[in-house]
Amino acid sequence: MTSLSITLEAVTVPLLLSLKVAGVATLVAALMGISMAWFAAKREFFGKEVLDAILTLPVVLPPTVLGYYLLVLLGRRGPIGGWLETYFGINLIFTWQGAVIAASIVAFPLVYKSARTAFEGVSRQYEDASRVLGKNEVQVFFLVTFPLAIRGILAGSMLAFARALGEFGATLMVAGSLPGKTQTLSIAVYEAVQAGHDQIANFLVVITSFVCIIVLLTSNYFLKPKYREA
Amino acid sequence: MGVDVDVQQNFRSGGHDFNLNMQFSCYEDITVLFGQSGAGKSLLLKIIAGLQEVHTGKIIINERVLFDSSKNIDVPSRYRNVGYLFQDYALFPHMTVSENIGFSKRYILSKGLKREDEERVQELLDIFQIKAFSKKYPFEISGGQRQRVGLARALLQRPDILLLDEPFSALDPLLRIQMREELKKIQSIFKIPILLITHDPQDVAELGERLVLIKQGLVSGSVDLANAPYRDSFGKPVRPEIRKILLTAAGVSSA
Repeated sequence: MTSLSITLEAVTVPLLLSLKVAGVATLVAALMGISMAWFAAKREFFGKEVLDAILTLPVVLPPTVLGYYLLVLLGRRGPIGGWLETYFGINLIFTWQGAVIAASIVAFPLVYKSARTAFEGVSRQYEDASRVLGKNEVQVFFLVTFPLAIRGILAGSMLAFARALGEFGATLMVAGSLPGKTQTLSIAVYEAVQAGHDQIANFLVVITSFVCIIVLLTSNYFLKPKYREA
Repeated sequence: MGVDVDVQQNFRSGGHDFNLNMQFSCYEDITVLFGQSGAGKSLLLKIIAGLQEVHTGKIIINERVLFDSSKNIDVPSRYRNVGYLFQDYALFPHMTVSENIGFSKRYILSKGLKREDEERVQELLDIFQIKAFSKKYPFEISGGQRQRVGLARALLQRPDILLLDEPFSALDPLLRIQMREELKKIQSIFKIPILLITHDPQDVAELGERLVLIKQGLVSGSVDLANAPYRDSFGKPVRPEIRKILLTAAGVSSA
């Protein structure tokens, strides 16, 4: 009985933490990714492609390298971390919020890239038509551009969620592996294997796969088009 | 009441220079813009709608100044109150026929319209005989029906002018005859100036009350088609005469 309850807790705690971290991270990545993608797709400005390369960097860089960057920036002696510490008394290192930052940066390019492609696929003619029909730029975005790009954006966000759920390297560097605090699912698997708790590892792996399959099924459902271009 | 356009713009793209310099007036009738592809006809409609920047000049519709470079006036598209039918209609694919038509009265947060606007949508669905398709999406209806939806959508906000960019080019010949009749009907109901681009001499003969010839960015001629020698005493178009001016404009000596 005791061994079973320990096993259950060993699974539910990292699972819920992972869902929380990945959920918030996806939200952050989606908001940032959608706005940056809109600028890249619909506005002309100097250095656009250089910015695009920088924004895509997190998928290319090894997560540990990214984690190290974050550690340097957010650490107590880092420029951002130091500022937060002195003025707000906030410390992000070894907290779940730190894990969220790591996961959202890793997941960001997945939203950004697919949202940019989706926005570029929305013909200018639809936007011009709504301008002529009396709509301002905010209305054009929410009534026309965004709804026509929503499928690509959702697809990117789903991938971003899956990526955030599986985040390991950068999260470990920034947030560590504190059980119940920052030990996410993927880190818990690693720790369980290292400690020889094969039963827990098996359980965690099955649960992770199950969650990922659900994410993919949901995204397929949302991605079914209800209309096509005439 | 009427439309006065006088615009100049220098376009430079890929080493090509294109000078646009157009000046013409029209009234509450159908004006046909005729000219070869690339002459700048679509560009002119975009300029009037405020979708294309223009350097110098003036655009006045019904005594309302939409653009005046000397006074730094440049009214944004959304305030110009212009009805625009794009070449392939640009119906919003994610909205039903009635949502498309009511679009100009829609706000971000509410899907429904005010009662008077909803009544107006119903009225336009009746005028264009598309009530049966009001719940369908644009991809589910035919080309002719799509065009009617596009026109109804443009007319909902009671525009001061209707701009039609090659409205019939995507339709089969039989449907073109029908849509020309409908356009005349619209003209008699709404009584607004209609500016129409076409490549089809048939459109010029059947619809044109005024003809503006455009060549390489310039207005090369303006002809009043409403009177002799282009209309006979019954008001029917005299085709040979109209053919003659179109051929002359195209640089072919009349045969």
